[in-house]
Amino acid sequence: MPIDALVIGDSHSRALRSGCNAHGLKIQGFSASGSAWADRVIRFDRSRGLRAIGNRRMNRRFNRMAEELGCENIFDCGAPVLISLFNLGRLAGGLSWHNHVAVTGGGATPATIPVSAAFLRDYVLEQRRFQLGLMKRVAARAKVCVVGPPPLNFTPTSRAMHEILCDAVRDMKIALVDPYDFLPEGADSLPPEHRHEDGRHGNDAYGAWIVSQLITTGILDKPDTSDAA
Amino acid sequence: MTDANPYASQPPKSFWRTAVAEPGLYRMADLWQSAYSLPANARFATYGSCFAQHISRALQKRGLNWVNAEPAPGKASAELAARYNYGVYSSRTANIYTARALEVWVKLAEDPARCDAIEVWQDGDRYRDSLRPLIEPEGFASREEAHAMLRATAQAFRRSVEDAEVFVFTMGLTEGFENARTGQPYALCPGTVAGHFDVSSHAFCNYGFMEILISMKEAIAGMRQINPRIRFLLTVSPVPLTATATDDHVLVATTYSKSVLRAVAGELANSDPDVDYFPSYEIISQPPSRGQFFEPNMRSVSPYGVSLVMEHFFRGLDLSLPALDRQPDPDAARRIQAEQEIAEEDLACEELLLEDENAN
Repeated sequence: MPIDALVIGDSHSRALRSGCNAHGLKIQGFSASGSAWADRVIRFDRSRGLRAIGNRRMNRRFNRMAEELGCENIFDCGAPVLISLFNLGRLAGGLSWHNHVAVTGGGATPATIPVSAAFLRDYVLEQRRFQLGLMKRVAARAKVCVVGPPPLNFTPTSRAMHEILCDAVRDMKIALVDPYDFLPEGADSLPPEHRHEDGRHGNDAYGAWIVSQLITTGILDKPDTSDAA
Repeated sequence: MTDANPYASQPPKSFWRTAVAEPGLYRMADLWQSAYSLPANARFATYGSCFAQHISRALQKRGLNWVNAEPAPGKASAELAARYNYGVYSSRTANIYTARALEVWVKLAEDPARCDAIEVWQDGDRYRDSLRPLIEPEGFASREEAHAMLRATAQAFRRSVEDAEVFVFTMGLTEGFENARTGQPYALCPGTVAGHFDVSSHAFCNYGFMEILISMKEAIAGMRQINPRIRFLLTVSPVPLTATATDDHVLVATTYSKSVLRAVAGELANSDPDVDYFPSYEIISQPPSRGQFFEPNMRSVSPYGVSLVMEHFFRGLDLSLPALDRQPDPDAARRIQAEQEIAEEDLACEELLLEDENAN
């Protein structure tokens, strides 16, 4: 079955799938909590696309997806792949064990331990080596667009980490859409109407909004002009 | 009646034959006995020349309380932490080779705003602070960042002094370079691994006994202002000079340098009951070892030597006082809180996805 987009990633990819549906795009997708990716339960698989270590349910899901797409490897389906995989919350959590903050951005106080921009970059790239590697492998087989997480509860340090990951994606020559770039001037966080009630995610309205940006920027085709439609 | 001569009542450790020649290197006893008793859970801050990092490592390996006032983020790999010089000393000062440099670090700890006066060297489009030019592999992104990070380390140095019962300092060199105008010491000679040498602004100093004694006394007094109960344990690095800027042969310069440092350490230990001297220098470099603990370059100390030094250290360390009643470690509480927040976030993500799955 031809589709308009394949959406994979952490819990933020739920809003992307919802947004695609709202715009009438035909999609397939798979979302798992950030820990399933960070703990490397889900991995890139050369033959099937994705594989879950020790989780039959997820593997059945991947197999079913491949069957529905009519291809052995889900990333060979011809549709653009939207990936949401920064998992910033967990990244910032690890940094707060000893109260570390980025030296730049105004978050440092006498009670904190600042780290340099160079260290922060190397730390973030080390912590997200697996996720960035997965993006690169998928990008070798399909047209990929990485979508940054919704701007919510940013601190100067999590903002700096977010920027490092955005730069890493760009350095790999992979298309990136950073929702932050589409906020109204002066805003640094999603408006209340785009926030999920849990305070940690974007809601369906956010999904529709960010997917409209993906369509406007040409990452996704409008449903009526899509080859697959 | 004849009085017995003073040697007659001396113990076996006072005689070369019974203390050194007969037992041999590995059976020498009573080489060092700590000058003061410490609580069982005493905390140690370690700084100094490169040999001092062996003491940091040995204390941790032995499970003693080593103060790490500027740790790497908890989830950083050991390799990444090492690349950025985390966990080498109790804060990221890098090697402190001279007493003059220690004096400056204490002044910075007293008032971190003084860090802004520390010279920063431009290295291409990066910046290195002149007290620790190699602390970050690529240097800092800007002069401001270099100063901000230096202030952070000065604050961490202060915390390490506040938190420690013992400040362990390994004296390394008498030779160093200073800014001829400001008197600021450098960690390394400008132009060797960073910075540029300028004969009109960079002055060579071979600090003498009195200068080093004064700097050490200033540093000790400054640390006592921060923590009146702190005690000091001095050692002299047995590692010879890489090079000398004097006209002497490097072997002669090494002997001079180590002799002066050893004399200052002895003077401080003899005159202050809260200052002790531990003989790592003697264990490695004196005749009983026959130079066997030096690597083939005759400079680096082998792990066997370090191990023997630390064996004597732990044998003589007196941790016989009752453990101090301490406040719970705030880092442990923060770590638990951070993990709880991550778990809550994971739960929120899973609930969201489950809700979504059920809806479809």
